[in-house]
Amino acid sequence: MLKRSSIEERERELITSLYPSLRKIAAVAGSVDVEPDDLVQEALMRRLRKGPISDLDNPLAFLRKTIVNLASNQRRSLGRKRNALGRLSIEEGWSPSYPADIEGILDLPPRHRAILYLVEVEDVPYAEAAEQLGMTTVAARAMANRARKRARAALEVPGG
Amino acid sequence: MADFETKLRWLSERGNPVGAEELIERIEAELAGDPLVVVAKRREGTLMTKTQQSPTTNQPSRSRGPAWAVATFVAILAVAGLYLAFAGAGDEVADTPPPPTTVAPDVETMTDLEIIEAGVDALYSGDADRAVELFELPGDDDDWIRREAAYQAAIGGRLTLACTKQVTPGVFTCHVPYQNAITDAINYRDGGDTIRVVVEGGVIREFNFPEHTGLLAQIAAFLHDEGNPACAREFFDLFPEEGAGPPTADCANLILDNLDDWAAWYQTNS
Repeated sequence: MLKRSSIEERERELITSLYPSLRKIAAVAGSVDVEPDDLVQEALMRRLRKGPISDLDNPLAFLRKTIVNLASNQRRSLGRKRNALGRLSIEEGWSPSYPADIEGILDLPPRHRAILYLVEVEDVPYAEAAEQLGMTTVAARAMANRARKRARAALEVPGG
Repeated sequence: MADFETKLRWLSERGNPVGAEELIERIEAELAGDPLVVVAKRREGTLMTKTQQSPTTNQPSRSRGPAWAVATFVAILAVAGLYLAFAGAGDEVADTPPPPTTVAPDVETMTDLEIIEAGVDALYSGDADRAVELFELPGDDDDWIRREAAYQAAIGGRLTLACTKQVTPGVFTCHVPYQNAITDAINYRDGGDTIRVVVEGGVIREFNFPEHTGLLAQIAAFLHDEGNPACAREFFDLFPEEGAGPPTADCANLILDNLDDWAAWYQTNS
């Protein structure tokens, strides 16, 4: 006898189709020491506790917004530990598991990274990108401009 | 293509994806009530904890059938019989001190979630020794944990903990609304941060104690206005480069003695 799944087939198919896009935004917006899959799982869990994903008008937008919000919360919650961890890493000769020249991008807040990724890499129109991040189109455009300037400035710094 | 676009593309592909199928399996396991969710609430001075599965069994509670009920009933009868036997044995037995009702469990037998629960319970109830056993945070030595425990006990810190297990073993995402006497006095209700908690080798290796950063600046201003610059500095210096830590219990007590003044100050100055 086949084991009955708690997630309906329609939901499974939807999650499978959304997974690559969700993981990408999680990888872009999340801290480098957080597995993107963890963020995706958390976002899906939060939604599934409330109801089926297929009930959402725009599941991709909803889940991407949730992922970026989770990433922003995690970044904020680093709080007072950030300096201590930074010092410890230097003292222990810790080396990051990402290219050194990516640091300029990582300095941007998760939301800035996300908007830049959506409009520059995925060519998502501003109106849609704004919906995916829970902001107005005007705010998305302004944020993307700020993010672009900051990213360029950071990458122009020697070694940055 | 701009250079940052290449880097963003690289970033979007980082790590090793587990794949949709495995992710769905993990989500199903969590939804089915595996011990992945824990809710802990502190009530009336005690941290009350509730897990979705008994920590002493690997069987989900939903699978307990009539046999389990019978076994439980027999066990209750046996305990009642033993009690009656001892009660009838006279004063000698009655004078024997009862066994301790709570024993700190060995971390080797605890699940990661139980370790988080126990650590939070210890820290927010002022059990500094137990907290030191369970927290091993980079950058925070034992003395720091002891001071945090003392401060939280003094200020009436209460943490509501709701954790979800993540894909990476030992990694949890926890929603942690936090209240204390400072927030209670002004009817401030914390929406709660979501923090990452890591358990490794039976100890908590990452846990960012939530703070109300905006309120800390205001309580510092209040203390300064009240003529206590030393305590003001303790609250204002929670996030410095070097050397600071939790406020002292003395400064917490000073606030507790002046909660009405704090509430009035907050109404006027916030």
